[in-house]
Amino acid sequence: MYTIIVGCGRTGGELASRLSRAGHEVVIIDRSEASFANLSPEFTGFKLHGNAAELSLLEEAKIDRADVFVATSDDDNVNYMTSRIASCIFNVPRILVRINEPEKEILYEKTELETFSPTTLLAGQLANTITDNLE
Amino acid sequence: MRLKKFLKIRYRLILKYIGVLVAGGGLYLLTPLFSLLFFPGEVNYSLSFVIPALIGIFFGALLYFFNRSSFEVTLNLKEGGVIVVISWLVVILLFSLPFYLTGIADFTGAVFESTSGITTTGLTVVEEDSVPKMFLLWRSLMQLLGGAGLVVVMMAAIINPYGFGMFQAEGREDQLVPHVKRSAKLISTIYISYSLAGIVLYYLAGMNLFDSINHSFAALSTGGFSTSPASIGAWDSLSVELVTILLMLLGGINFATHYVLLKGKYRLFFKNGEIRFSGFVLLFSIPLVSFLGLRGISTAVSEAVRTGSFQVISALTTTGFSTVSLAGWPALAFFTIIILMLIGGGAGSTAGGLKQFRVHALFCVLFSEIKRIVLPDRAVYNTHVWRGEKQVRLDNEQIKEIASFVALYFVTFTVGVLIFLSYGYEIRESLFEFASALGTVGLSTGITGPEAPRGILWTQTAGMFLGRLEFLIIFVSIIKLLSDVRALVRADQL
Amino acid sequence: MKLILVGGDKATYYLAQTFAAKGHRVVLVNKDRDYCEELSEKLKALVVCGDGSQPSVLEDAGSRSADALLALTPDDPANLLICQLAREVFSVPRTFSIINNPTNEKIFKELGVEQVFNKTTLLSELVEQKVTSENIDTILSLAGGRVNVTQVVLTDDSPATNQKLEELALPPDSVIGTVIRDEGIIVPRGDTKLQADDELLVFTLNTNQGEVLEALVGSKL
Repeated sequence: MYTIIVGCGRTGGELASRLSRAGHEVVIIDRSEASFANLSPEFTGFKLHGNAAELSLLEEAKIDRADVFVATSDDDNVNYMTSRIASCIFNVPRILVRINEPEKEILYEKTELETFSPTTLLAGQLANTITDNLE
Repeated sequence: MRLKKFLKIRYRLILKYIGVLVAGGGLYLLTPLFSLLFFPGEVNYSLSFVIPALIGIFFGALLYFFNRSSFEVTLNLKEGGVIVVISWLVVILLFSLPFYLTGIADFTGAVFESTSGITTTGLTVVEEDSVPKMFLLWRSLMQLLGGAGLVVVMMAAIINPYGFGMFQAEGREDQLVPHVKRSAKLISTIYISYSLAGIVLYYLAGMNLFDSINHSFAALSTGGFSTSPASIGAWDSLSVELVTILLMLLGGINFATHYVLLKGKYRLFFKNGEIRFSGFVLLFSIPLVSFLGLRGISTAVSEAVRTGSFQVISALTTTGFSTVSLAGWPALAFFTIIILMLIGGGAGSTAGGLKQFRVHALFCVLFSEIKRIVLPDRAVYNTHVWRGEKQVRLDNEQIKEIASFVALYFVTFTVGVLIFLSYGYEIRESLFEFASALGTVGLSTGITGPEAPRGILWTQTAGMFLGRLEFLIIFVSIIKLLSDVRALVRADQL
Repeated sequence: MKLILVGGDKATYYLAQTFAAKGHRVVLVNKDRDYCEELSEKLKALVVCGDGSQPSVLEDAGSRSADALLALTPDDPANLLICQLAREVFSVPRTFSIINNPTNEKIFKELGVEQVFNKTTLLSELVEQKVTSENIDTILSLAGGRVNVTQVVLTDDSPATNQKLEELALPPDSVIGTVIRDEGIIVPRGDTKLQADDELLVFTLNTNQGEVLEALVGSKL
């Protein structure tokens, strides 16, 4: 499976390392070279340094070949734009998007993009754990 | 966790992988038995291969099974280095046994020959006419394996080690696709396909099947072992030489660059720094050697060009095939060949030497420095170099690495040449012969042979080993081993 | 018309002023607190301080009743998001955006942004024209830079001089709209003969502008 990940923060780095270890081909993009330090030694994919919101960089990452596209940078706007490019222009089969600001989720309602909000997920988990323990 | 306990766990993993590589080497020792298809009369020599094979498989398997329990953990570069260095040493010894057991060579000679095989050098202490064909096939097979690299083959085939550790330790830096195992598989596929094509081409050019197989393996791996003591020159055939030139050039190109070419991206291919650099070097040196150099030796111009081109390409790609003897060559041609041997082939290819990428990068840096002086003080600039599929910025770290490597190379070169001189050889021949060993080329002035002093052979063996694994990983591994052994042996402190 | 201007720098102020002078109602959204204070002092407009890519901020700016929104930030992804929010969440009828990277135009258009102003292309073309030729002047750039209205002055040795309009080998998709001669305006027809010193107003596409100019005055841009 050919996966492109935008954003090599802690989440992106961990995701990339896991996928690479599982045998998938992974290309990870980040604006800052230093971020690639978040990758573990198991990562054997490609690292692209640059602005993911630029079409030329996405083409360099061979987005036309991608099976999965994950937008997990810390900038919701970039996540939005890149995931929309992936879906509208390149028809990538599966697109996963991270939303940092929960109120922006509304933009994704009518699309087929799968969204994940760390805040919502975590708060939900914590809430469940707390209420479960009360019983 | 305390260091000792930690190291024990890591070393179990290391030993496990060494076991795999050694067992693989053992299995590989059975491949020369294929020559029995051509020469069934040699069957009594089979034992000299089967015994080492069994030893390798047995000990390798033992190491593997003893250390199998450990869960899958990723190796770092240093650990990969230890695995590579130790495995190579063990495999070299293993591969030398056939020569030793049959008395073709003494211990020094046997180790020399197997080192020359697996490092794809091509210098030999063996008389090609007087040994059983099985051993000739074995030499070519060693070079085939050495060209790809033990780790690449293993990765492509069976084991799935996590991470780059071993891959990078063996000298492969550029990946073809975004996963190391797939890259290894691709490299192996390209490699095997080219060698099979080579066999067909040689056969069509008039070589018999056995010789075609041997020479295709030796040419593509830029090794240079031949089935004839006179090397390619024995066939005196233009078509054979052309096929050889094609395979040598292919062998000397970085595998990542091969991938670019195979995907049809011709423009990118020709933009590649190493391709341009080697093109320039060849354009310059072939006329230099053919016309100015060989004046007086060859009568016809076409002869001079034919010989000149062949030898130049053989030297630059560090293959080591020859069509003529180099002994009587005029100084200009002779020294040009030495320089070509020092420059070497593409990084990440089967060739040796300093590697074109480094030399090219240094020249880029040189021009950049000149630019810096010419431009105004506050101007900002960058140095770029094409590598594989993309343009890479040459930063200070890389330049430091390249410079240190080059320095190390020349220090080793000087030491080696001094040793040669101490044995009484002339400066011309010493420079040539050791450059050939260090760069894993294989061209010889005649110093190397069964009668050469043992010390000279060991010097060359060391040179070939250091050159192929590119020094640093060897030093790093030795340092790590020493410090780890000390930690493991030290009595437990409370 | 109620217009919302999101982001931008000094130019936003002048733009807002221009719109206000024409009688439109302007609302400004900007992240920079100091700039917001400056704007609210100098303009008689509602200034909302916040990140325009957040729905709540656009809500505060009254997007629900806006007629148009202009995204003017230097960050293309932000502009895209802002326009999308305006359209999808607040149903603003018309959205406009600046884009900085010409290659992004495609995705903006795909997602329904009406007009995209490509700073880079516009500027570069204007500069090129000014630098290369004195008797060629692009007056207007329409449809996001795809249609040009160019003013061309014919000289004695221009190829089109002394030619009838129907004899000129002009490329398709181009038209000579008017000819200004000695202060008089002529709407040309096929048999109109062009003379030296004629000022022509030529409508061309971006893509064939060079050819047309070459045919008229013999110089390419």
